[in-house]
Amino acid sequence: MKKITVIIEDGKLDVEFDNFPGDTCSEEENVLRLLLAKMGMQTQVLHSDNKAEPQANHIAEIEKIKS
Amino acid sequence: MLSAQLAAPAILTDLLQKLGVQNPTLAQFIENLDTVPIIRECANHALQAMSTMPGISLDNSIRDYYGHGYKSHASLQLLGALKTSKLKNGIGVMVDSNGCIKFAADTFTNEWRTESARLQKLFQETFLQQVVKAILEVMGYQMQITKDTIKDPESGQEKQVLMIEGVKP
Repeated sequence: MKKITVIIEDGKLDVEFDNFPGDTCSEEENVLRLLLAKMGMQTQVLHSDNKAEPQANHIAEIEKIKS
Repeated sequence: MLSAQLAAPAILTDLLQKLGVQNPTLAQFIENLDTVPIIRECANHALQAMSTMPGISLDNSIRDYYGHGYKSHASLQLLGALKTSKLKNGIGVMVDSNGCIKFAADTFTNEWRTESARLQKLFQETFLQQVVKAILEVMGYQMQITKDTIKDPESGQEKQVLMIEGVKP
């Protein structure tokens, strides 16, 4: 089972992805960020533990809502 | 009246291009998705959720210092007004035709201003929770939601932490 855990605290999202094979995690995270943007949330990656692609800016562990 | 807003729906072009390579059908779906009705629904859910919080009530009108009310018009209807003992005139929440969330309140006194800012921040938090739940539903996840109240070590004030766990095959 693919699992996504979202912790919401102080207007920030901490998102973890588990059991996603290959780069499907990246696809899922892109979908999440795009849908957040379509809902008016400005996403900004504050931290990433994606060791494979640290420069890619697309593992959004923490998203920040625009205040 | 104070006016502030959450951003209108946007599209992240670089991410859309990446997703277009990974999953063109899904990318097309997201690009064409009209989220304004979903934003309105999430805002309504957030207002309902806040009305169950201690000391906050939901009403359908706001007033200014002189007792004048806000008149909704077709493009900017008042979804609801949050009221507390410190802000009896209320803070109104509206969603415009572009999906921008707007707030309106009379902030003539310091107390009104502070309470208005507190309610606005609380609404943004609650709205974000509703948005994440809606998005995970759209993405096909079955969710379990856990709420917890913790004490902020810096301010000493209690704050809400929400954990959403979603699974799908």
